[in-house]
Amino acid sequence: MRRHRRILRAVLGVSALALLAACGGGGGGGEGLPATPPPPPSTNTPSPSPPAPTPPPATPAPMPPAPPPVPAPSPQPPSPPPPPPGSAGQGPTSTLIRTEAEAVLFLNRATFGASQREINRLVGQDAADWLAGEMAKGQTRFLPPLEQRFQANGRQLPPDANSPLTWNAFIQADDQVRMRTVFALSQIIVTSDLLSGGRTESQKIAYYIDQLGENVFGNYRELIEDITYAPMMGQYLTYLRNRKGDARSGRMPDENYAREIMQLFTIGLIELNPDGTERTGADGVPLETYDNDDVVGLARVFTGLAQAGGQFNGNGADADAMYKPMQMFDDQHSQLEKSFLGTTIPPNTPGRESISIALDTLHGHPNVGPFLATRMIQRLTASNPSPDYVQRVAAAFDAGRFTAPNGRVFGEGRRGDMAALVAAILLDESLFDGTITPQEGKVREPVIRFVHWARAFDVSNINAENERRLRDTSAPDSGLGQHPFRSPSVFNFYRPGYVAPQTQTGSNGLTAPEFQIANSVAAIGYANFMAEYILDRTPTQDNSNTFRPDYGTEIGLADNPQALADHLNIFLAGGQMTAASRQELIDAVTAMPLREEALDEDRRKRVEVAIFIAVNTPAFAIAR
Amino acid sequence: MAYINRRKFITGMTAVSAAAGTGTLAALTKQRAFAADTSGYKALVCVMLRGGLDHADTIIPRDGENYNALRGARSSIMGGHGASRVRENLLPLNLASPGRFGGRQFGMPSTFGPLQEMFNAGDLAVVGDVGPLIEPIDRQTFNNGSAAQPKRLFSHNDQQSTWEALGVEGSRAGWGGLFADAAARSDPGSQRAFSAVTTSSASVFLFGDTVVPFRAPSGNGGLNVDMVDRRDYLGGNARYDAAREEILDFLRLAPVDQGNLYARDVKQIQADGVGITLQFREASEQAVSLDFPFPGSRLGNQLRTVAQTIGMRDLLNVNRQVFFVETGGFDTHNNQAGRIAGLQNDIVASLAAFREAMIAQGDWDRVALFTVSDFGRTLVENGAGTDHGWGGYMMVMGGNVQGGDIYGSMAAPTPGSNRYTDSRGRLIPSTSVEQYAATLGRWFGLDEGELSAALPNLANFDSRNLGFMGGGGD
Repeated sequence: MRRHRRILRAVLGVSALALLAACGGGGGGGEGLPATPPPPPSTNTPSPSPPAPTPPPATPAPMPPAPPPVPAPSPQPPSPPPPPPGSAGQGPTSTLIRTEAEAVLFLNRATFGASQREINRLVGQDAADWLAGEMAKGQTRFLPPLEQRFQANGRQLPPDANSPLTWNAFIQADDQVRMRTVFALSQIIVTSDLLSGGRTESQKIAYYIDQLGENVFGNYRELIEDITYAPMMGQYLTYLRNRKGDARSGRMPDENYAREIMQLFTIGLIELNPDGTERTGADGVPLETYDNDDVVGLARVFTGLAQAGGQFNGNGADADAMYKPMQMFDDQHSQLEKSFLGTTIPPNTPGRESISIALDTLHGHPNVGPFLATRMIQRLTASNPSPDYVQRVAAAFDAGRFTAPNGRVFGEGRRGDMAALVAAILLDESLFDGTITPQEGKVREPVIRFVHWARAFDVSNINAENERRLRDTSAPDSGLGQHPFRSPSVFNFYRPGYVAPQTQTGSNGLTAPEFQIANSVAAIGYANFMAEYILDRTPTQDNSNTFRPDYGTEIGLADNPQALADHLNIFLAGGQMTAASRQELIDAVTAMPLREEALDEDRRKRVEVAIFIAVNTPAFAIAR
Repeated sequence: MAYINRRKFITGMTAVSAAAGTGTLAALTKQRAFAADTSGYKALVCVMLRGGLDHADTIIPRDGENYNALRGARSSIMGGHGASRVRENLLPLNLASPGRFGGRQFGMPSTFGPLQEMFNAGDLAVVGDVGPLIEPIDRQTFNNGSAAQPKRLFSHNDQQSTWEALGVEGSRAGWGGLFADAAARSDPGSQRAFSAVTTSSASVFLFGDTVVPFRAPSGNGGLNVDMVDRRDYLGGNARYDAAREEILDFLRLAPVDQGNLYARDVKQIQADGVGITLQFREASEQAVSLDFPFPGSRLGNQLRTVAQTIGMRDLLNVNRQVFFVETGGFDTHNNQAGRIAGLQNDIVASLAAFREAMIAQGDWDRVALFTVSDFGRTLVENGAGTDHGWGGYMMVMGGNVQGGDIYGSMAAPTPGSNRYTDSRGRLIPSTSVEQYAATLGRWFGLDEGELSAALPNLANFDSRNLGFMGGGGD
C-alpha cells in the first residue's frame, strides 16, 4: 500500500515537472491565456472515498462560556417576513443549505469559520434567511468595555488593550457576519493601531472599529462620513489639525486624506464600467478618475478638523476627544473655492458643509459601486471575481436592494446600501450553482484560518490578553504575517490588484491579494503557529492554560484514520480536500501507535496531528 | 535537534533544481549565448524606504542663496528640526567634481556623521533628481502632454511598483529579478533559488522571468518546522518519528491533484517553501556566524541578515545575488521634523554598520547598496510636513562605488522653475530609474543587450551609464 503510493507519487511528479516546464520556462508569451489547460473541475470534488458518515452531533449547542464584549440591543428594523417555508430551494441557484458540507463552505465565507453549532443551525435552512437573522443581531462593541475598564482603572489602559477584544470577538461574538464584514472593511478603509500613542490609544481604534460595525449593514455614505470624522483616521491620514493654506508663507493644505479617500476608499484611480472592468479612451489607455488638481482642490475640504473641545491646537480638548467625532474649526478651514471631480464648492463655504458636499460627490460617483463591490468580494468570497459577479453586486449597491433567490429582500432601496451589497456577495448565484471552477475562490487570510480553528474546536477559557502569542501576530516567521487592525500601511496587508508572479494564478492573470504575504517563511511560520495552538502549548502571561480546544468528537474517531480524515474533510473544508492530502493525513495518523496502556494520550496525539495536517491543506486555506 | 530524513530531502531538492534547469534551457536555446559576467561574487542590496523619503530634508544646500530658498519654502520644518538643519551645522560634502554645480555647495544634516564620512571617503555617492521617467520631460512638456510620462504619479503603491518594476501596481517582474535572471542564465550550475533574497515582503522587484525571491528568515540562520523538527512536540521519543516523517511528506507534497488554481498555488508555495527553507537552514548551520553589531531596528536586523547571507554564498552555491530590504514611515505629511529625524538616524546607523560588517568580512568591494523610495516630496511644506512628489535623491554605497560625488543634476530649490511640475515644488526627474538601474546592472555583470531587455525605456536617454560604479561613465 505504502510502496504503491510512492510509485504513484513519482508518476505524478513527472507530470508536475512537465507542467512547470510548460508554463514557467516559456516566459513572456501568451500571458493572460491559460498556459496549461486547467484540470477538469472533477478533481475538485471530494475525495473518492465514500462520503463521510455524518459525525455524531456535537454536544448540543452550549452557549459560549464568556460573553463577547457588550452586545447591544438590535438596532435593526425588523426584517421583512420570511416567505412561507417550502417556497424556496427549487431553482438551480437556490440558496437552501442542504448538507453539512454546503453549510461549511458557506460559513467559511460568511463568518470566521464554521463551528459545529452554526453548521447544525444552518443545515436545512435557506442561507438568505440565516443571513437576514445575522444582520439583525446586536452589534458587538469595542469601546464600552474599554472605557469601563479605563475608568475603573484610574484612567489607565495598556496601549494595545483593544487587541484582545478583537480576538475574543472574532472567535465568539454572536454577530459573526457583522464582525467578519468589519474585518473585511477594515482592510479597505484602513487604519492601524500601530501608531504610538497617548493614553486613550485603545479607545481611539475601538471607536473606529465601532463606526465600521455600526454602518456595515447601513449606508456607505454615512459610513464614510463617520470615518472621516473619526480621530483615528484623522491622525492616521494626517488631516487632524490640517490647516488651510497660507498665501504669504506658501503653505498648502495636507493632501494625504484627499488622495487616499479617492484612491482607496471610494472611487479608485481608473474609471470603471458597471462590471468593474476598466474604461479606456479612444487610444486604449485607461481613463484616470482624477488628476493632481483634483487632489489639491479636495485637500482644501479636509482642513479645519481637530479634536473636540478646546482649541484647534489641542489645548483644552475634551478628555474623550480621541474617541468621538472631530470638531470643525471654521477659522482654520479653507475659504477658497474647492474644485474637484467636476464639483465646485463656492468660496467661504463652512467646513462641515464642504465635507458634506465632497462626500456626496464621491458617493455619487459611478465608480463607487463596482469599486467597492470588487474589493468586498475579494475580502469575502473570490480573489478574482468575474465581471458578471461584480456587476450583480454593484447593481445591488447602486439600487440599495438585493433580492435573494427565495424572495427575501435586503436593503432599504437607497444607493449605497451595505446590507444589499453584503447579501449580494454572499448569496451570489455563482456560489450556489453546484460547480467550483479552477479560477473561483480565494485564499483565506491567516488570521481567519487561525480563528476558524478556534471556533471549530470550541476553544474554551478564551482569554486573549493572557496569550503571549496573540499580542502581535504580525511576524511571518513566528506569527501569522498579519494582525487584525494593524496593517503596516494604509495599503493594507496586500493589494487588491496583486498578481502573484511565477504561480498558476499569476500565469492565468488572476489577482490574488493574499499571496502577497505568502512565501517560504510565512508558510512555515503559519504551520508553527498553528502547531503550538493545536497542541495547546502556547505560553501565557500567568502560566494558566487558556485557549483549550475540545477534540471530543475527533478523539472518538481516532481509532479509524479514514473516518477521522473524512470527518475533518467535511467539518473543516466542506469536503474539498484532495485525495492526496487525505491520504497523507491517513498515513500520518496510521503511523502513530495506539498503546493499550496509554490510549487516551495516543488518541489525542493522533487527533492533534490530523488537525495539524488538515489546517495546512489547501482545502482549508481556500474559501470557495 | 533530531532532523529526519535528510537524505530524502536533499534528493528532492536536486530534482527540483534539475527540473527548473531543464525548463530554462529549453526556453533559452532560442536565445543568444549567455552573456552576463558572473565571475567572482557580487551582490546588489536594494533598500526601499517606503512612504517617500523627503530628499530635500536629506541632502541640503549649504550655499547661502539656495539654503535660504529652501528654508523659505519650508520654514516650519526647518525650524522644527532646530540645530541639525542650521546652515553652519550641516556636514559638508566634498564633491570630487565641484565644477559641475558652479559655486553651489551641499551638506547633510548634522546627525549624518557616518554617511558624510563615507561620502567624503569615496565610498558613497548621491544621485540627484532621479525618478521614474519614460523619456526626458520638463514642466512645459509635462503640462501640455507632449512628453510621455509615467502612469499614476504621486500614488504610493504605483510609484513603489514603478521604482521596483517599471510599471504600476500589478507588474510581475522587477529589474532586480531580471538582473538575477541574467546572471542565473550565465551560470546554470548555481542555485538560482538563492539568487534573489528578501528579508521582508516579496517585492515585485525580485521577481524575474524565472527567478523567485527567497524570504530569508530573520535572526540567526534557520527556521524549524516545529511539528517535524521538534521531537518534544509529540512526546520526545522515537515513537512518533514515523509520523513526523509523514508530516514532512505532506508539507512537501507537490500540488499534483489540486484542481483549483488558488489551492494549487497554496500547495506549491508550501512545498517549495519548506524545501528551500530547510536547505537554507542546513547551510546556515555550517556557516561561520557573524557577530558584528547592527542596530536592533527593523532595518538593522534586515541588513544583518543580508550580511550573514552574503557570508553563506559558497554554501548556498550562488555568486550573484540581489537583496531587497525595506523600512517605512517616510510618508511625512505631518510632524515631519519630529518623525524623520529618528528614521534618518536609523538609516545612518544601519548603513554604517553594514559597511563595517562588509569590510570585516572582506566583501565591501563585492556589494553595492542603493536606496529607492516611492517619490521625493513637495519642496513647499503644508505647515507641518510635505506631500507626495516625484523625483528625489538616492544614495549608493560600496567598495566599487565612485563615491564622493553627486551624479545627475540637482535642481535649485525654486519651485517656480521648469524643473518642478507646479508651485508646490514637485521635482521633475532629469535622471531616470532605468539609468540608475543600468549603472548598477552593468557593474553586476549584465551586458548591454541584457540591460536593454530588462530596461525598456533606457534607449530614450542619452546616457546609459551614470558613472557612479567603478569603470567610469560614458
